[in-house]
Amino acid sequence: MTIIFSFGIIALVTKTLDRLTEGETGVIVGFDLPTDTQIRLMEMGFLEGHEVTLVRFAPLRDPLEVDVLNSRISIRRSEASGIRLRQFG
Amino acid sequence: MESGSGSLDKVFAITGNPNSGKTTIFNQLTGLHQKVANYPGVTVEKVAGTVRVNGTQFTVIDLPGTYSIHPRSPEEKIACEILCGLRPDTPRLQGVVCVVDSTTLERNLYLALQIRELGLPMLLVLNMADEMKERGGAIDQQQLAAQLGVPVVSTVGNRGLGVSRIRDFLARQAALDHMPICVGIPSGRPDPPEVRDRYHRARQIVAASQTERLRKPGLQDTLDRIVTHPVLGTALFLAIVIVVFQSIFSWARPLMDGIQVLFLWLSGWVKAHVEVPLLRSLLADGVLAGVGSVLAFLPQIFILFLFIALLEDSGYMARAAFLMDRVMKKIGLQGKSFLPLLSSYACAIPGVMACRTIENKNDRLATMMIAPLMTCSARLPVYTLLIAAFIPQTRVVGNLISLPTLALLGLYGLGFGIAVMVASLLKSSVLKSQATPFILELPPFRLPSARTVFNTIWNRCRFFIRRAGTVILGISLLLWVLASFPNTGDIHSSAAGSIGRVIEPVIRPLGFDWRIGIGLITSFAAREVIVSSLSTIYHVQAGDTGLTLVETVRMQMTPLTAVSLMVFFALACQCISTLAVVKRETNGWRWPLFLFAYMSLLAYVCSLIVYQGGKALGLA
Ligand SMILES: Nc1nc2c(ncn2[C@@H]2O[C@H](COP(=O)(O)OP(=O)(O)O)[C@@H](O)[C@H]2O)c(=O)[nH]1
Repeated sequence: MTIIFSFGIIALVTKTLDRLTEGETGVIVGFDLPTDTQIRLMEMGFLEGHEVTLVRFAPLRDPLEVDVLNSRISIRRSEASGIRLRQFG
Repeated sequence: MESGSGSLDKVFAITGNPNSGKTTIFNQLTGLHQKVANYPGVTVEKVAGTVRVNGTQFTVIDLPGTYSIHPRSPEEKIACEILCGLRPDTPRLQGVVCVVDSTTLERNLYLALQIRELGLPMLLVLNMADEMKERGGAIDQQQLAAQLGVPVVSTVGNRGLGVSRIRDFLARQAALDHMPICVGIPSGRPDPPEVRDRYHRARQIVAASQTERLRKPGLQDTLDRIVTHPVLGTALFLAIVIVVFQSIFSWARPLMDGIQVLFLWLSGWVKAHVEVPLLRSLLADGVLAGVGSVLAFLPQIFILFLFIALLEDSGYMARAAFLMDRVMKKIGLQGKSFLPLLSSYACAIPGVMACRTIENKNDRLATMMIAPLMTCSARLPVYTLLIAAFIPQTRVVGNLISLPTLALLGLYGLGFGIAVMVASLLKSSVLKSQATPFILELPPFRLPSARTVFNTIWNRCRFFIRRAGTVILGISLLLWVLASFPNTGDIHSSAAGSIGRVIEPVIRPLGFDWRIGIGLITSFAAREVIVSSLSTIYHVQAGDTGLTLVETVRMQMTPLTAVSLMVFFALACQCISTLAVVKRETNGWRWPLFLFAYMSLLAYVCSLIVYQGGKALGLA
């Protein structure tokens, strides 16, 4: 987890999608995924600059239900951990 | 191109994201004039229908729902080829109807923009207009049309509102003389900048045309929370499975009895009124006994497909995949294997075809190889007959479940359990692959439209009835001939008897006699044929005893034989159509042959263990 201080007071926190708690929102800043997977996610609306909300985890904490562009998409932790987010912390 | 008054060779396609209401719109346009050509010998890929507008007719193809037309999965490849006019079996398109879900406009516009880039005449259909309005949203259609450069209509698919304007578009395009040409043919894979550009454009268009933003749906969230809840959700899942199976048995019963009574009555009428003995036997023992015994299962198949259609259209199925993914991953598969496997409970053929949505080749093959182990509806007649004959109608578990239901659940469980083992074996050996991304949309819960549900069931039942009228009728007749000649008055010395006795040594260890042997051979055409075969054989052998088939079976088989036979049916791949569709989908003989070999071996060994083990325990 990286912490970037800007303006001294407001901290911009980056973390991966799987580290959000249920109900938390972040903005996508980048991917650490194989290109194919990245493009598939991008075509479903997971794009840099887009807001995503972690809605919930499935009973065994995998996969995750994510809200992006007003629709609900389910992805696995393994992919979610490759999506980097920016959050106002 | 001739400029006739609009005819069936004017072809249009409907595209859209999955869950946009595409099928609903297609059904509204075509009604019952559909052809689901998905069996060997006919084109697998397409559902095509006929649309009539003011006396002229056009063909509309329902393309598989996709998020992108970049050919990646086989399904997307087909959609893309049809759109670009690259398939020799499909005429070039006169235009495209792109159905979008107005409540997720931005995401849906991605595909719409891709399609627009192809350069074909296109109509954008803003479906789910009612849902958008309910959530306070509004879209300026004129602005949207201007931004996109294509005409726009808004519809409420399940109530048929606005559909006539889609018809107008089709008529207008079909009246044009020239054949439009697809200009931009997409390549294998888009690169990230391309995706970004398109989404950027989509955002601009939404910003310009969406006049009111949508509120978050409150009720949806509550429903979703319950359905995916670790305890409630899992309980609901199990409850649904149990209700489906219980209703197959209890709701269908009166209807099934009705059909049986009807055929008994017909048979009695034939016996009383047909003078020529040979013809009388042909009609009563061949035709009516054969076809009637299979048609009696129509109510069960109807109910099964009713449930599958309801679960799918309501949006529950995707939640089930969400709940099951983790479990499926354990056996090397993924949540997306869940739908093909569940469809296979109705029939392995659509199940095997649904595997196309799985992008990863090894996952796809593994799912295909276990799909036929799911208890398809063609096995139901066999199970129902044997269970009705041997399992008493006692209620167990505090009066909740009846013993027959429990037995049926056990058989479903057997197929599933073995499938799990086979899948993990395959995935840890020949079909090993990297874990694949699992990306699945969880659509909002929606009230399924009666029309779509009815259409789905109708298409399935029609197939079943047609099979009863052709394959099953043919086999019943053939069998009647074989069982009646040479006519010595004893079926044992007939042609069928001889064939049966040849194979008897092989199946004797499983507890099967020559009559069951004949049934097994004939059931390769379709599993349920064994029911009509046994019916015909017993009829020819004993003449009219006035007994129902269930009563006859009870006299002719031991309970242990019945159990062994059910186990055999649970595991054997007795279905030529399944093998044919696997050959088609895998492009070769290797996988269908493997499928047939492993399932036959499995069935033989398991039945052997059951029968010999049962005998050793003194169960006979
Ligand atoms: N509220 C509402 N529901 C719709 C509309 N159109 C379709 N549906 C429902 O949405 C669900 C999915 O529709 P379907 O046609 O199966 O979607 P497809 O996956 O795109 O083929 C079904 O339950 C339909 O009854 C609509 O305009 N409004």
